[in-house]
Amino acid sequence: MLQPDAKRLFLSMLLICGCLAPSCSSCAAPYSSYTYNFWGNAVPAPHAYVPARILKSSEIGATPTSSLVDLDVHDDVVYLVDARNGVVILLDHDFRVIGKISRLVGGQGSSALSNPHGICVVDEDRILIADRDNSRIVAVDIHGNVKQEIARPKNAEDWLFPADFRPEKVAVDPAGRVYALAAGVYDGIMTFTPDGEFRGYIGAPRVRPNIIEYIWSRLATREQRERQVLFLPVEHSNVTVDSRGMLMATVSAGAINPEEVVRRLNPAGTDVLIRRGFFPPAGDVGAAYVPAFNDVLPRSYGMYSAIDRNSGRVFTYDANGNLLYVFGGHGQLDGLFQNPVAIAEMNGRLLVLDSATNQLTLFAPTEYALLIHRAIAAYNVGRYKEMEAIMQEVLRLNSNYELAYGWIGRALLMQEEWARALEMFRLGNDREGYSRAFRELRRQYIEDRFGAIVLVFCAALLCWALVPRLKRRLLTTGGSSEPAPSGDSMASPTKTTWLRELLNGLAYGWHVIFHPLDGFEKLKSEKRGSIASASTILLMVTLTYVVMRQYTGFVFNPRDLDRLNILLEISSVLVPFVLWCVVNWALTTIMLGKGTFGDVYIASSYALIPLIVVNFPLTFVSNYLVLEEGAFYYLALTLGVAWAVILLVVGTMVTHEYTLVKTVYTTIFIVAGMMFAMFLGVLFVSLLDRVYLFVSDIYTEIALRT
Amino acid sequence: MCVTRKGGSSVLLLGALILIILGLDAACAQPSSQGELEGFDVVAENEHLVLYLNAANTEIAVQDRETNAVWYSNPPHRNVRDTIARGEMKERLNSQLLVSYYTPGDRLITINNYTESVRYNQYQITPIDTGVRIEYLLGKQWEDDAYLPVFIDQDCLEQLASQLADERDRQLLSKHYALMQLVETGPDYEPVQVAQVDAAQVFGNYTVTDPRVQGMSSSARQKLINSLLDKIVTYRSDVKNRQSIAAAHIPQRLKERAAYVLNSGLLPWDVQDLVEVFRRAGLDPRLTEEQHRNYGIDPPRENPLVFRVPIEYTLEGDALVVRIPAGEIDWRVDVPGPSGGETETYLLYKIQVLEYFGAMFLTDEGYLFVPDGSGGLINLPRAPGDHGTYERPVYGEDPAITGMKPQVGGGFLEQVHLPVYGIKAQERALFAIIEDGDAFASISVNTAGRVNSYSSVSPQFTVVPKSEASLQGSVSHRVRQQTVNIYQPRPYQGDIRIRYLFLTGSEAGYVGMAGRYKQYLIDSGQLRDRVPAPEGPPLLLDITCGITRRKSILGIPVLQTERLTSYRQVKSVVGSLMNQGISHIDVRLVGWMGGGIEHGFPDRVRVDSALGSREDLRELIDYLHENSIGLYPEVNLLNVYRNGLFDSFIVWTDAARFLNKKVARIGQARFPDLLTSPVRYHYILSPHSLGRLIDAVAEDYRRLQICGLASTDLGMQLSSDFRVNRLIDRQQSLGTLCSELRKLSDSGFSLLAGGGNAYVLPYLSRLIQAPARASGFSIIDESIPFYQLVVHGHLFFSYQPFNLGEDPKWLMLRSAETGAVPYYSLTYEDASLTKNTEFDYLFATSHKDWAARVADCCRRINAVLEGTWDQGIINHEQLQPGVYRTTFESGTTVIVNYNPQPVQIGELVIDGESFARGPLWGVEE
Repeated sequence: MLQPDAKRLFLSMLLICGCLAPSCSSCAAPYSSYTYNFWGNAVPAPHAYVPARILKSSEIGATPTSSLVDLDVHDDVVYLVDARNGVVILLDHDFRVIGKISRLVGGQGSSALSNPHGICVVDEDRILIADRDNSRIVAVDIHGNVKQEIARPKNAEDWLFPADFRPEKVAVDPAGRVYALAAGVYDGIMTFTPDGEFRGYIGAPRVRPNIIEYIWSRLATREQRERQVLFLPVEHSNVTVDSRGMLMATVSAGAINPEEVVRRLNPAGTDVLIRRGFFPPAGDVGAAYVPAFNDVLPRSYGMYSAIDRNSGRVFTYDANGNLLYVFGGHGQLDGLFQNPVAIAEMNGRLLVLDSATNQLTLFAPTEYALLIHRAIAAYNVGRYKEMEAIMQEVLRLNSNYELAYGWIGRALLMQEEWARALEMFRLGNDREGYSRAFRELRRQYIEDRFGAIVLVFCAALLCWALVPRLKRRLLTTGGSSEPAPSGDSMASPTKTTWLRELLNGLAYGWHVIFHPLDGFEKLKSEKRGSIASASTILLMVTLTYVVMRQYTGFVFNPRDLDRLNILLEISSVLVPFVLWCVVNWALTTIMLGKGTFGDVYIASSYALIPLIVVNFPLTFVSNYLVLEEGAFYYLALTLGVAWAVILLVVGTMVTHEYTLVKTVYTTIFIVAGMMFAMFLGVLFVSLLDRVYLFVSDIYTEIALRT
Repeated sequence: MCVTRKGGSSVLLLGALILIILGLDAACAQPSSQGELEGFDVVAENEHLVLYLNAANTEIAVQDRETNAVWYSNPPHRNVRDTIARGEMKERLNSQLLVSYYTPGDRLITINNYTESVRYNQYQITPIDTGVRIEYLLGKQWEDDAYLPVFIDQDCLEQLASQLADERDRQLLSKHYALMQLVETGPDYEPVQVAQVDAAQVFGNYTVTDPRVQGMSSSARQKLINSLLDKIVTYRSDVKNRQSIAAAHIPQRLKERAAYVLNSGLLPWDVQDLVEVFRRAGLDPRLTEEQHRNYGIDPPRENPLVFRVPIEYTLEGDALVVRIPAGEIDWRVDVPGPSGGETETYLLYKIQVLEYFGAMFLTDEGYLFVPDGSGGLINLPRAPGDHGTYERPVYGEDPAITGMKPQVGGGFLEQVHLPVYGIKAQERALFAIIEDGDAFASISVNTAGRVNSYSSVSPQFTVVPKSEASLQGSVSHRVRQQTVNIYQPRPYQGDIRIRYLFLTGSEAGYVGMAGRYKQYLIDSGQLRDRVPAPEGPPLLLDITCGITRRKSILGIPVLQTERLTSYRQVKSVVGSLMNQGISHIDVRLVGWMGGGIEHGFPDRVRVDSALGSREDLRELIDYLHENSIGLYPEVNLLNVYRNGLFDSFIVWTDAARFLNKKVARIGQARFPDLLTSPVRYHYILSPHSLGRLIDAVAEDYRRLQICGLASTDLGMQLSSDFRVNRLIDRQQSLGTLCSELRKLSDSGFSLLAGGGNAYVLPYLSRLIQAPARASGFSIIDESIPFYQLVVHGHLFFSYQPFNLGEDPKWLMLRSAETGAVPYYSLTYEDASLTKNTEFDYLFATSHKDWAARVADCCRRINAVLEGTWDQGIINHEQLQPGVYRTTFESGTTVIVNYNPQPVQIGELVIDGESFARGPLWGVEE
């Protein structure tokens, strides 16, 4: 079928290519790429990296007995560690096997590697291998000549040094200091001087048992405690050094603060990783599994990519901890992993090693990833205009990318285009940026209309000064207008008195909140409030919260407005209120309280008036505040609540004619009672759920059998 | 025809149950030149092929007359060559059929026809027109005791004895059986004493006698009575010992007639001999059963685990056709259990046909072809230790079983769209087409080194689809979930038919297979005529009009239509592309109906007022028509996304059902893990209601003067309706779908669908989301454009939109390689409008960002593919790793380089990740 020419060419090409694996013409990403939006929902994104080549174990020099565990790339040479065979395999840029390091020449220890687990290549003459079962870190050159051995010192008086030294990972910083992770060592990362002298540990991750485990272990007897799983201190899973000489470490399991699974340690051992993204750089948001990071790859401009064994995904973050893109996944298709253990970069492409299949997967960046990288580079060197242009391209490829909006907004801030920046920050859900742009806009607005604003202010002041006088004059002249409504009430007496009563009751609320002792007293004794007015107040409180959720300014409103549910909002006000009333009434009846349920209901409703008084205007004002003024906003919110709480207590005291002391402990009982009631409620609901399940099961079974 | 029945030369195989008579005319039989075919006899032949059968083990072989190459149903010399298979796997190598069944305890067990049928001689070979039919009975039907009647009517036994040719056999019978009868005692009767039994009470005024003997001696009578009582104690489960024998236990039948009763004290070899004699006499165990029942003796129990499976091999022209009439497959249902309590059924679940037909040995070179996605090759021999299996259902999973919508392409697994597979050995190839039963088929592969030394690919057919119902533990929280199997109440009744083609020489390869398949489809009217050549660069354009957005106004959720492109704006999107010289555009209009992309039940096509008036739509249709641009408005026909109050869709009657009788409500899993609980649901429309819906839609489309119709799911979703009283199985559903599509296409609609399962091919004029590659299973070494080789030139197809989802660069290269039409998805408004909606997968569609690029891409692809759009592909080959050449009928070649670095092919230098038109085919020679 082939023409002679083509045939010859084909054959010659075959010869030239030798064992060259077919380039992945059929590979496509077998995963969906995504990113997280501000609300923690995964949103689709274009692929950032796609598998370019799958290197099967037989192609990269692994045997069926191999167990490839670590990977490093230096100068276009790939170094693979085969733990079981005790070999380091060297591949060239085209992934052909060019050599192996298996026998070591010189040195005091064994001349073979025994279960090596980690590798760090400084250059061809200094390759550090964590030779696990030989209890040493050995530095060799590319031919296997031993240059240095770091083992347990002979004079082992140094009690800090582990008795059983089994190094698993190794890293070297630009100054030549050696860092190692060893099995069973929980004190942190072991550090050695360039001469191999042990200098101690840095960066032990803090153990954080969760609160229930903690309480449980306090309560348990000694035997019970012994039967429990030990709180194993946390071990790092990998360590590497970034271009600035900082250590980057990952933690794959253990009772650690979930935010701290990826860490960047300064020389003092302090975690200095910036976590300012929407979510901490710790893998999937709200995932059903516990992320377990196996390796991290520091990249340019503070970016880093970390691989999560449990999801098989590679997460890439920028220096601020923003999630840039995700690729990979768990599975058996080409381009997915079963147990990814190491990641390395080679000419802009990423290599991921899977120890379950002994396969290497080469990922190539798409246009999308390259644009993001270019934008970060431009931003880091201060070329904001260029960055904005690149980010516009990114948005063309992915309009879901909130980060891009934020970055464009930032660039626009630099260019003082406040209005456009504001829009971009809103799309990017960047409240901080939004606030900055808004402040400038507000300033501009005020500057532009300074004269007018002063004028309006003066007018308002004048009004304020004049109105009382006018009012007084009006009252004297319009005194005769008072009976007019009563004339109306003659026409439809019941309706109007009802309305009047309600309005009077509501108006009395103003008195109550400022003079609570007197107010509550009269509420009860003189029936100044009614069930109707109390219910109206309650309705208004509920409405306040709905309005607040919907109309609070963007800066102070971190909720997804499109997913607002009115029933939830209403019940979040009503349920605690009703609980309070019921428990209050129930408890005070047995504690010689003088109030009826109606009294309690009315007093409690009136006590909530401050929430209306404070929250309504505050919602309006919040639209014109910037983040820095948030303190005022939150203070006002808190004052409103505090006021209402005090009124509740005072209300209880007055209604039941208690002393202050008795009120205090009654209140405590009521709160406890509310909690108990809620607990019962939850119990009841879960019981109902069981019953429902039971009935539906019976139904299913009957349906199946007939 | 060479199969006749001639007494002299016929081979007589005597089974106790089944008599196999196979006659072969010696004059007609081809003296097989090769020793390979020893034991085989010719059963059919024509000018292309000869079909052989080995009657002793029912292996078949097919010989190609032209090359004399022989294909065996079971690998020859397997006993010598195979070193891996052991135990059951070794026997399985001898089989032609594998039957998997579920035990009453829901355990899946697989048996083969060699172990369970051929070895027991439970098969019957019948010659049929141009071939042969073999009926297997799998599972040993009767144990030996069924051939040894304890009581038997006198005439029955005598008639059996008369069947025996050998006098010694007859003697054996008479030696071990004693004739006896119950007769009333005469006045001269002298009572006989029997140990432990009160004879007077048990027999009353009857006694036992041999009717042939007059005046029996007391001792002879005593012997007969003892024998009778012994039999009652031994063969009645309700009688423990002699003391408990009562009058009721004495067979009353003996009063009316004489019967032979087996003697006591038989030796084991006597038993064996007797069984043999009865088998020879042709005793039907059912007779034993009947007789035993008549005499109150425990009848022998028929094995409940028996499957009757017929298979027919016929030659049709150059093809071997294997047919299993699934309606004739039979097994026992609701057999009373051994203790007579609960009934039990061993349910035949699936059948695997000719697993080792053409199997390749461990070291053989070649490949297996599987139709995964666009097609995949499994290269042979495999590297040591690299062996695996593969099994995928044809046409994807049934959503009414899995409860999930099939996901096609875009990083998910590709479907098996074509019911074909193949095997290539060095100089020859085998290609199989599943002609019927395809909706229940799956393709399975086993590579050498795993369980035996042979690699093979074969089809499996699920005769009884099955699903699981889980019963949650309701009492306490963590009771383990109990699952029970539920089965389709009616097994598949149609045919299973596979056509095997035998390819040789240059045709033996995937390109040749594709050619033969294409020819087969054309000949059987399953592929359309050639497409007309487009003028100018072709383009397929998705334009999304409206989507819904869940909004909240003061906390009250509202569903709003978000306009992405109004009807008028469609014109300007299309116009801007036409201005750039892209003239041959087909527009798939998405989300144009009320309710956007996930519109309500479309029994009445409503125009969405947020997108424009009916008049605007009319204008748009006219505009597109004037500019001869194809318009395919998308409508969901198979799934119902919104169940309105006032439409004619009633969930109870119109939605399909799951096997657990519940309405088939499918959850759409949320991105990206597909793990989180679904937030949106849709119903599968029952195939029953499909016709009504399609009529209504066609009517409305006609009224709007639209003559194109797009419904993506049509080509990739095939679902049953397991509603109890009107079950529509998957094959029937396929039939319904096809007839509806034929109706549409006959009434002048041009259709667009997605995925492209084989059954929709005759009715489509455009295909989207065509399989671009095989799924990336590690067992598949190479993905080949088999699908494209078949349909190119007969169908315009496209893959995924270039601007969404997949790597656009790769899509472009693949489109150029395989002649796919460029495909983009655009909206007039900015794509950021889809942010924070369910349709955020439309993340890069703004037409102002993309128009220029779309035009550029179309021109680039058309530059190499111009003139080939209406041509078939005649060759596809790999020139070097990552470099492929496709040759079209006209001789145009296209070379695509997937490598990042440039390559030189002859005089031609092709940049990295680029493509070029190669020299005309044959010009260099």
